Amino acid sequence: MLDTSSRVAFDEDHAMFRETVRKVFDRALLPNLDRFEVESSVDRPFWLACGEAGLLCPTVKEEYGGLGLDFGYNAVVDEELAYAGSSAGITLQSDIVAEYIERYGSKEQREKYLPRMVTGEVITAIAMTEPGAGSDLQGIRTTAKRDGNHYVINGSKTYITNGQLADLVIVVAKTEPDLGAKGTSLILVERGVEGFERGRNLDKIGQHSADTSELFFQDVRVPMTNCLGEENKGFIYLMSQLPQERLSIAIQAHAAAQRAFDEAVAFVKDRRAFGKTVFDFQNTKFTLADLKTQLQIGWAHLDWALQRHVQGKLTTAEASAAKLWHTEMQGRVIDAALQLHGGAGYMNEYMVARLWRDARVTRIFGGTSEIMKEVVSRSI
Amino acid sequence: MNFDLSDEQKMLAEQMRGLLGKRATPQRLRSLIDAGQEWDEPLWRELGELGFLGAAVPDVYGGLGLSELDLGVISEELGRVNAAVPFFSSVVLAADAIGLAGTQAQKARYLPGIASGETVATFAYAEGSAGWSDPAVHAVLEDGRLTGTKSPVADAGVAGLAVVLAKAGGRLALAVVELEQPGVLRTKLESFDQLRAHYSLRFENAAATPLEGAAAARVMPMLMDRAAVQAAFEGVGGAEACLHMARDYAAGRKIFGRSLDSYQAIKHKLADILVGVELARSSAYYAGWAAVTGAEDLPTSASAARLMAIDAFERAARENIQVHGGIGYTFDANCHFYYRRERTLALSLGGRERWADRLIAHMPGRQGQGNARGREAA
Repeated sequence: MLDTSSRVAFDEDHAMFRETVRKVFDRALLPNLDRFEVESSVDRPFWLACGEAGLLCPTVKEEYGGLGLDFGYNAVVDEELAYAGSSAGITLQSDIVAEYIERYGSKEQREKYLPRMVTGEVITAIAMTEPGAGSDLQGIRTTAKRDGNHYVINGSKTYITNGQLADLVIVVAKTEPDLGAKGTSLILVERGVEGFERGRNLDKIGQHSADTSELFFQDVRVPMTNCLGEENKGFIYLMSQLPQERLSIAIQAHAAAQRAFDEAVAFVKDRRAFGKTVFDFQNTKFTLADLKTQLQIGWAHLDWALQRHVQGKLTTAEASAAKLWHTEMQGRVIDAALQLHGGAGYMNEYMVARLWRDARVTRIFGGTSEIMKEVVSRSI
Repeated sequence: MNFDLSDEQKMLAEQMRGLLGKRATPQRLRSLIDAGQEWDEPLWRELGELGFLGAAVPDVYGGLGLSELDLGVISEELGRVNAAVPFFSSVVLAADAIGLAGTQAQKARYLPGIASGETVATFAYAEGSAGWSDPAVHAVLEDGRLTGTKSPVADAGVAGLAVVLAKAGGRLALAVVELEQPGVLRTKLESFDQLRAHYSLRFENAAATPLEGAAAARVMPMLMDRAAVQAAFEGVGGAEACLHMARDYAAGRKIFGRSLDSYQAIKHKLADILVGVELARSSAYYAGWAAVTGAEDLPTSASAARLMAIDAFERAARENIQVHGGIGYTFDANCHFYYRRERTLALSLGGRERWADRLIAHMPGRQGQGNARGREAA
């Protein structure tokens, strides 16, 4: 179990909420963990179980069916999910999409989607990345052209989390292609609209429980009321949501690293070599001491960042620094934890192997480490 | 291809090691520092008499006519003991500059003295933090007269002669300058390596002899590559000395009831240093071979050897102190000699960045791309 005894960002209500999260995961997630990996996706019953227990979108206001809590509750879910070793896409909905709908959506949009996002009946995705456009969103080629009272969307997206399950997708598209980034808008597209097709559930190194997909849009007509917020403001919306997205990734990275460390400790204290436990070797102890030090510092930093974010003070540069450091640390810690397992670490039946696979992408998605450095350097 | 040293080179190494093991001890280095000496003059004379200083100088100019690899063997042994002699300045840089850029008559005039050790020369290339790329050089050579300031210049306190990088008619030029003349002002710079003192040299209308055998702009990159190879050998020697010091100390020191070297953390540390030293040595050998044969890949192999040696020596010098613990931080232990020399060596000839740029600019496939080459210092 994730040890939270020395954390400072949480109060007793968070602790009670954490108990609930653990109970739900014990029942609905852990028994299905391997099946979700094999099926390359979690299933709808899991989403509904999370929704029923109040785990989804905890920040959504009560008038839209939510609990109206602070982001600390999202963080609790992020930590427990990552510590469980799952790559389920519920955090994308809670930490990212819900925020877009609630903050920029019209009253109709909020009433239509948020209550069912909270229950898990509606699963969402956000489609930014394209085959030719990653962090450089100016390179987006998907267009949404006006035609009477409608937009006609054409283009393709890739690496979209929740791509297979999603009932609602926020599509980042150019409404004024000549204006570059300033001509970008966020358009809501629902499952079943003609011309909207899902491509492959992509074969990835890790994160096998996440249905990461291609999406195709061919002459997809949606009413202009599907524009989220103001037209041509999409780029600004995307930029202002970055801190929360990056903090969310940092939190999950750190919790996953802690799990790998805990796995390694348990393994080396049990396994014997050359007449003593592996833990008895100085190299093992020093490696673990090094990892424990990094983890301790990391938790202190996360609590700081989390508290700042709840107060609305976390800057994009700070959140980017957090994502950079925690995901890089995750890579180091999990790799070392795997090494301590010896040959067993390379076997998929051990949790550390899955953590290692799943970790590789965190230095890439949500902006690569190199992009994080660019962002941080702009603040200097 | 045989990558090992020849029997003659192994003998040369043994001979050097035997001599330096007796003459260039840590006690000797301490007594030089205590006496305020900048070099070990008796050792220099002895090395000259035995022919080591002229090893790579052609025999027609009073040297032994051996190869750059032989010179590397000597550099490695000097690095191993941290010797207080201006070998790198005089033999590696100045003699090679004259050899590459001088006319036959100029070589005949200067090289025999350097080869015998009677003349100590140095090479004045940098101009402060601006460095020594073409736009950074402001010293002016006109009608056999030199005006300008070069700094830092190693060993300029004990040198009688300097090869100076300057501009003549707007182009890079090399000239030989006698340092004992009214137009030359030497100012010693405070630095942390007392046994390789650095100076600022101010020239005011000083008499200078332009080297006219080859264009300086063409000579400089090759000269620096060849010097980088020797610096790599020197670094390898120093790094290996640190490894052996750390090993010997750990073997003799008892802690918590057993010897320090029985701890896994120490063993792994020593193994890491050794890996670095071996990789750096192999790179230096290859670059030495490229210097001997004039191979096309001298720029890449010299840069690689330089980078590997900087890294290996840096790690070895630092970890040697760490293995020693508190005593390693004191003046009484000998770790600091290598720690200082490592920094001096790493920052001479342009630091890591300069050589990383050069390596990238000359990587196979990059040759046609003028931009990358244009960016690096000449």
